[in-house]
Amino acid sequence: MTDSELWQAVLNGDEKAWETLVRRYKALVYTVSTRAGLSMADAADCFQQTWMLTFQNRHKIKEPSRLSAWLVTTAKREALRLIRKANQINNVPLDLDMICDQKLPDEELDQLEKQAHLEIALNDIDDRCQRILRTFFYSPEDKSYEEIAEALNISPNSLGALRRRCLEKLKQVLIKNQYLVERKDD
Amino acid sequence: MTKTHLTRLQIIQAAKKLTEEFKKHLAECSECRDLVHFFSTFPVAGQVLLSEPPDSWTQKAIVVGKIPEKEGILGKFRARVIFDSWTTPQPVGIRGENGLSHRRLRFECRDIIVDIRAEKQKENWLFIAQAASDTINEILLKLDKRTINPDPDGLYQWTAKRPPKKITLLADKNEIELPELSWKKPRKK
Repeated sequence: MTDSELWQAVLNGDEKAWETLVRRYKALVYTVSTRAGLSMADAADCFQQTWMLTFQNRHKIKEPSRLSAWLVTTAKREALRLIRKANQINNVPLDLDMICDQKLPDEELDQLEKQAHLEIALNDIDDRCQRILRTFFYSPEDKSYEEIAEALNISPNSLGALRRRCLEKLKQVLIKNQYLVERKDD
Repeated sequence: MTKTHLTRLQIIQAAKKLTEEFKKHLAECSECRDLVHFFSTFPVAGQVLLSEPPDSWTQKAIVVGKIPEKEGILGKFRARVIFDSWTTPQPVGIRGENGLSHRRLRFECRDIIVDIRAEKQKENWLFIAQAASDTINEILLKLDKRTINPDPDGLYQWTAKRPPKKITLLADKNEIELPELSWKKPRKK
């Protein structure tokens, strides 16, 4: 199911759809919460409050295909609120813009969001393709094509075509989920 | 004969910058071309940036969507004690039981600060509480079986024979539970 479909189900009161969404994006929200430099207790608060606010404001989310961006923004705001509070308690003067730039730069948040999308799409394709693509994506950088073929127990002659088909499947899922814009020359 | 393909490192490099050598290979190898194109769109492929939260955190987030709204409660939080006069050493010169007929407590949860002052009278305990928050306007105080509304000055006042076992705040559809405290007087050392 796409994020938009899941979101519609959440709006209809489907608890299972909410659980699926939490499981889909928990690593993304967690990573934003922990990268902000919060204590574990505050990071837990940030994580929980992000989901709470998302659920409370579920009728306000007009573009559910941008749900991951909503989650990232909410987690970032919550993290900054907690940083501000911690600094007030400790009487530390702070520059929130500086904190934003240093701890949670937009470019990095964008990369985190993209990795979440990639993981969601990878989990949505068949096991064999997942295995092939994960090996290409995450094996040590210096591994040769032949070594990867051997690790996968696939003939090097057929691996290229297989990899291509799997990549196509992955792209289709990314496009269906609106994580990737279809290009004419794709 | 096995066709030669770019290594993973070369694919990552080609996605960042196409050298003449890479261009030449990609012109002849559509399989590598596809992968390089993908890596240039998704440079995160090949990086592990995300980490998983503890299971307990995930379960709590799942529960957020399970609480029926008709109950009006969206989430449960637990406050922590940040000051307790009974566990704080008394200033020099103050001693004996006097300090134990009064108790001052401060709790904190999110941006809510709750101060409670308890005073032992002849038969009863008198409680005066105050809750402050920058974001929440209406906070109700729920004792074991009763709910206390703030008076016009924003104070919650009540008397009871015994201190309450459980105090909960109802704040903006969130339930904030204050930790249970022992009301047995601490022994003198």
